[in-house]
Amino acid sequence: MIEDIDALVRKLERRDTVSPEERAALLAAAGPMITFAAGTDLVREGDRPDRSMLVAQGFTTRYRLLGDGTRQITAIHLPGDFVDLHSFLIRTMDHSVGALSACRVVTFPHTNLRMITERYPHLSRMLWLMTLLDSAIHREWIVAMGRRSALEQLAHLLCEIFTRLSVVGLGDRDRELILPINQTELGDTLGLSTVHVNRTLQQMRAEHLITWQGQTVRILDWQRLAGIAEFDETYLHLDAEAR
Amino acid sequence: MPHYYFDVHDKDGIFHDEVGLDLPDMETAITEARRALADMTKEMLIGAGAEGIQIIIHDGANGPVRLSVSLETTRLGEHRPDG
Repeated sequence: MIEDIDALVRKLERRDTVSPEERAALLAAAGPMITFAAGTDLVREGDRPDRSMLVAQGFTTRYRLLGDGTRQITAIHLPGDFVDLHSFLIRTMDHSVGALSACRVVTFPHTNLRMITERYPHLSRMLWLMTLLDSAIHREWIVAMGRRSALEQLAHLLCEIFTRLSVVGLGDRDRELILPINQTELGDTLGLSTVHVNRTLQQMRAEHLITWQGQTVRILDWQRLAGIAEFDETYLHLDAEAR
Repeated sequence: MPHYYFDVHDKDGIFHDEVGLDLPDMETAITEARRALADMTKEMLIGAGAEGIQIIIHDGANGPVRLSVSLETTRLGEHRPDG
């Protein structure tokens, strides 16, 4: 269904042009749609999937579990993101992917992705670009975890999520969003304790930077929040140019 | 599972926990508070002027428990007046 790949097409068109043939090729490569309940895994560390998954609806995370039971979330994926495009080539999953909220994903059998790489070089480069964007985001997260304060780090994550959602038409800096992520999950994402995340969120509320009620989040002062985060969207590569 | 609230007192003020966490017992809550003090202390030490953090755990049943971390800077050299 065309609407299931719509977020991906929006994400690609923000950076380049998707021809009608390429759009048709993506649709033709799509396999069955699968739904996952919140809290379940889409794919687990050690699995050798024969298909990659594109998020059509919902929020997912990539994560690693450590021996002492702690968890580090290494990525948050939104609609339009391939959660495991790389499993096409790396074969064995070195991390798991879990559903933060109820999710709907489009599967892409690896044999169909191979066909795309053989017949559609420009579309292949755009898919390659999607994995490069994932690694650009990872770099930014490493910088944040290594060098930013809890307030700066959380501000940066919120600026990023709002920006990424606006790219796929699911959000706006001036409108409230549903973020299905609790304080423990935020802590696992930022490498901070739950209590520290809670204290930092309260500081943001007290300083009238955001409101956060349940899962509803609104940014009250984008300029100030982006200033605290030193948010520079260059790493999201939002310019459309021939790739 | 009981619900524990963690109020934080630091250089920026008092942050009353309105969300809290479900944890099996107070010992686990203390472990959680220690973890929080560990990452908050790192930031506190880097910033100028801050010399202490406290977390007070409330569970509504038993008396609150306070954990505190403080920093003391002592200049051990003898004071030499100018000239």
